Amino acid sequence: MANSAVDQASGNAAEAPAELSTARDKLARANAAMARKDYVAARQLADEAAADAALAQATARNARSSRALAEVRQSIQQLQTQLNRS
Amino acid sequence: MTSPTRFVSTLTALAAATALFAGCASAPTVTPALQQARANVRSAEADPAVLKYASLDAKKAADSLRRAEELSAKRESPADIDSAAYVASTQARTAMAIGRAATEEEAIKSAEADRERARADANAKRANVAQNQAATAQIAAANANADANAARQQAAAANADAAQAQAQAAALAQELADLQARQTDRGMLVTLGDVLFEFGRAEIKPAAQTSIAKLAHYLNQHPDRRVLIEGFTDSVGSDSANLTLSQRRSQAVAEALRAQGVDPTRVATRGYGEAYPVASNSSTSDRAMNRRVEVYISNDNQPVRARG
Repeated sequence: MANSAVDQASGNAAEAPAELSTARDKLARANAAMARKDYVAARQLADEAAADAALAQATARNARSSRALAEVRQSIQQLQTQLNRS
Repeated sequence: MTSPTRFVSTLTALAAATALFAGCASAPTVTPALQQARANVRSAEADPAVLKYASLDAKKAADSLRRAEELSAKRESPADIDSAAYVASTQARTAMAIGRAATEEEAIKSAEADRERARADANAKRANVAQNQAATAQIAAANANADANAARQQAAAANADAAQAQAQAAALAQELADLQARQTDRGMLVTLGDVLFEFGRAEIKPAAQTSIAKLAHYLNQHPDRRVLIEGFTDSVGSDSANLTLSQRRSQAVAEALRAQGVDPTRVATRGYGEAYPVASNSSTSDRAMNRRVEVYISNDNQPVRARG
């Protein structure tokens, strides 16, 4: 579950590199814990990794929405400038 | 045997110890991460955008926090509590980020609607400007057309005027020709023969009125021209009688012109008696030529120069 969450975040969270990197790191550590049969730590780290991946996606979505909103507002401003000039 | 008092005090101490023990057992382990998680989950739950767009994520965070609280109540290891608290904090932050994103996405929709309106306004304004320009051009074209029509009409009128003026000029030239006018250095000369008058008299014969009328008509058509009327006789009779007769005859012609509407201030008269004969006075026909009235019409608006 943590695996698929981090995979998904890798695909659509490029705008949140710090959060994404944390998620990957946690996932790696979860796998390492799994390998040494420390299942409690593996479970905790996997839960954290899944939460990190979700945060990375939400942060990326927020970055995109902020940028898009700024662009729309700027284009409106340009139109209004044009309208006032003509 | 223990005294009842001691027993009571022992019971009291036991109860106190039990209470103390129970108190110690139920005291949760609160880590800074747990406190942070509580604060984050509270913020998320108080965020209207989260309530509107990310209530499910907020619920996940609250569930995670509850797990962390359980671990805390059970005095599990701080590492376990922190891990659960971390997940709760992260989920709370995720819920708030989703709330912000969704709010902005809504704002983008309404901003795009605004932009479409602004675009439509701009297009309408451009169309309006184009329409105004077209209307202005149309009005200008209509004006130009009207001007052209007016010019054509004026030209036609001018042509008509010119034609009329030409016809008039031709008619006047014909009248002058009828009067046998000829150009001299003092102006146009019209010689009225002695057929104008009865012998020795200064009244113009009714039959001669046609010549006078033509002359008057010409002068009325050319109000700027000035006139000098000179009377002459033949050599028959006394000089003084001839002089008087020639004066009276020239005045008679001036009076006839005045009667036909010619302004008398334009007309001067002179009598020269038998002076300036144009023929010999030795034959009847020659003397007839000398009995005459000469009418000079100026070529401009200046008085006709007197002879001599």
